[in-house]
Amino acid sequence: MTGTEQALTILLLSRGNIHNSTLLSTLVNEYSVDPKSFVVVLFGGDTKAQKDDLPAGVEEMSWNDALSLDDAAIKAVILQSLYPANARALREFAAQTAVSYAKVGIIITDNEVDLWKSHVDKFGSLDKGHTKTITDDMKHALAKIDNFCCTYNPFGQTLEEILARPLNISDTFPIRKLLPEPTDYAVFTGRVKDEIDYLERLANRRTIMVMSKPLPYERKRVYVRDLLRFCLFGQSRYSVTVLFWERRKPWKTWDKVEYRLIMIFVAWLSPVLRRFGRPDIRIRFLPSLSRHEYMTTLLRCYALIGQRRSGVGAMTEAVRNGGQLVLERGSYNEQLFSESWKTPIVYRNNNIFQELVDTENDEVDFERVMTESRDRFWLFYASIFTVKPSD
Amino acid sequence: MTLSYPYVKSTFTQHELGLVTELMERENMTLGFSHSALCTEEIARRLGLTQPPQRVFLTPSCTSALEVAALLSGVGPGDEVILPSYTFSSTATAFALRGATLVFVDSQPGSFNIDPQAVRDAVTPATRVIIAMHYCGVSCDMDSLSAIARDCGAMLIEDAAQAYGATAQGQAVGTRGDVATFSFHHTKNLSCGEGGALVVNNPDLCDRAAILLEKGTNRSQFFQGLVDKYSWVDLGTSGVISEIAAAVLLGQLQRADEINGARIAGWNAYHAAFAPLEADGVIAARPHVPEGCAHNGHIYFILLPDPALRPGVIAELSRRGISAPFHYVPLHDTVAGRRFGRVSGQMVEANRAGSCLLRLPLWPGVADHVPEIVAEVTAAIEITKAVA
Repeated sequence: MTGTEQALTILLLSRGNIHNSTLLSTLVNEYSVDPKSFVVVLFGGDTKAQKDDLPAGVEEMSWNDALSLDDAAIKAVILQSLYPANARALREFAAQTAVSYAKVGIIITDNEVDLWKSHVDKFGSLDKGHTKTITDDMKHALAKIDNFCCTYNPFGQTLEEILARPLNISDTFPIRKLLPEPTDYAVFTGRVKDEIDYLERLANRRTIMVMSKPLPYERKRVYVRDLLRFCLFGQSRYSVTVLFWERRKPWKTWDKVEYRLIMIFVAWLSPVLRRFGRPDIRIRFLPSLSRHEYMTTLLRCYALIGQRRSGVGAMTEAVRNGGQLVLERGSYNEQLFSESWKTPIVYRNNNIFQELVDTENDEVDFERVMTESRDRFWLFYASIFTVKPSD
Repeated sequence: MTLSYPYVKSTFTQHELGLVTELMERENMTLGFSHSALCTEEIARRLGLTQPPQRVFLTPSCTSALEVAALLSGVGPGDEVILPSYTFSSTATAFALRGATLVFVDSQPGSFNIDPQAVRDAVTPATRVIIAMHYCGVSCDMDSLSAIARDCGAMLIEDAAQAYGATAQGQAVGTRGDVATFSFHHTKNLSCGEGGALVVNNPDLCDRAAILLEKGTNRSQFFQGLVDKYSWVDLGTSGVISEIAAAVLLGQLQRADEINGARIAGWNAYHAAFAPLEADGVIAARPHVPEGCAHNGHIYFILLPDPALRPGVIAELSRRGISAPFHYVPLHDTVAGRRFGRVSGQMVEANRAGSCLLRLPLWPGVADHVPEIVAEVTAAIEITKAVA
């Protein structure tokens, strides 16, 4: 590298990863990161078959060109999460370029930290034990990387526990929007939301989504039983639509039987019980949804009953658009939303469905969350990205 | 906020106005037919028609050009004309007027151009004409259609109403058939309000075409000094365009690259914006342009995943000031189609286009508004699903 060239900040991303567009769009459009201040290096995949659309102004550097850089030419290397494929790519990249691991940072997405913690709980430390999800490349990276872009509570402190050393934690991570295209997002959160709200009001309906994605039955057992009790004994001036996800993976026989029995019972009995003053309950099973369908479905939801961990993107979007978020006390997600972001959470006391039809939405000042996140992000990345704080 | 994105926008400028003004200031605006002559020269130049027997005739509309093409084909009762079901009524009615039997065939997926295999399957000893309608300004598979026409001795007619400026393998669309017709209707890339052109590529048909267009007289030969007076010699129609319309058209033809280029930019912007939505399944498909074809950016369409969504999506977009119309009702499924024609083979693609296709606003300058229009289309689809 000559003296006149600027060192590069590299975003090392997996080719064809559907989360690339939301990350890049969030950095450029929400966090005012100058797109000229970094380059994207895509690894893996078929370069001919897969096309990654980058936001305007963001440049891509080929993998081979990136390997020809040296440590002096590299200002920082940023990874999106850490998993076997990008850990392997990072190891190869570091071996070729001799880049210092002190320059490497990981943007934590959501559930990887819990996965690593489970490994430590099971084997005693990250070094020990071997699973498909925690490879030698990952252990190698985690032993050397100290920079993590995540909230301190719950992720940062867990990371410090499992890695057993103090780390450089940003205490925030880029809060993404489900639709990366800004015009799309504006139309959906404006016009589509208005129309959906109107339809829901017209139908005098409250729609509640149970978990943000398909999950094992045991995670939602308590809510399914709540639904049964609500059907039998509840009172509601609203009709209630409950959205469950179609279960794709096999599950335990008794779980399946119990789940089906309850669903059949609620679906068939609800119209009968409605005549005796019981709530009008409808159940819908969601198939795999496109990004836009998902967004529309979320906008429709009065409340989202979230899982213990993962699904932060969907929950954020629900809260940002005025939805109620129901979370278990002490869960990763509860710590994130309630303690780090201080957004209102609904807790299950007696029957969650009864509570949700009895209470009105809390106003959520999500702009405050975003402002705090931007401030922390800029502090963390001041030395890495060229930021435009005036925007 | 209500938007204002019509389906078409006028592209007339001071240039066309200047040509019309200049014409109207003359004492005799029909004298010399200067503007129509310049138009035919410009069209011939654009199509690469350098051989004198090939001729371009301006007509009052593409429909009238097709009617003359039907007369030139000599079809009558008992003869069969193979044409795509997914086309405008003018393609069919010109031949139905001559008493021929229409044979509707299916289209190819993606381009919705006539399917050559379906044409081959539909050929009978009575087949006299095959019509290639270049949908959206994308060329049909002319190599295959030419071969079929040659094999069965049928006349090949190109309905290139939408395809002025398009090419296939570097050759202008409208130069492969025995005759071709173009439209300069208000909705087309280049317009004079209402107008058309008949291009005669088969030299054997040129003289008769001139007679048919001159009310059945040999007036054209009279002007060339070939006969000392002109008289009624054949069937015919009034197939000439007014000089005022020709003046407007001349201005448009001279700006063809500018207008088509700006439309193609809009088309490309749509195509890029809809790619992830197609991958996500929000829309079922985007248009497909076969290898070697260069279209003219006439229409950008999408296919919706469910026919039931289309009325709601159109209404939603209309409420927001975005005009996004459907297109043809397949001819085999119309009252007149059942009366004057028959179906050959399955109509899978024609029916799909007929029920799921949605056209989007496309005019010079639309490229800047594509992100907003695409977002609105996506929103309209999702709202319609939610209502359903």
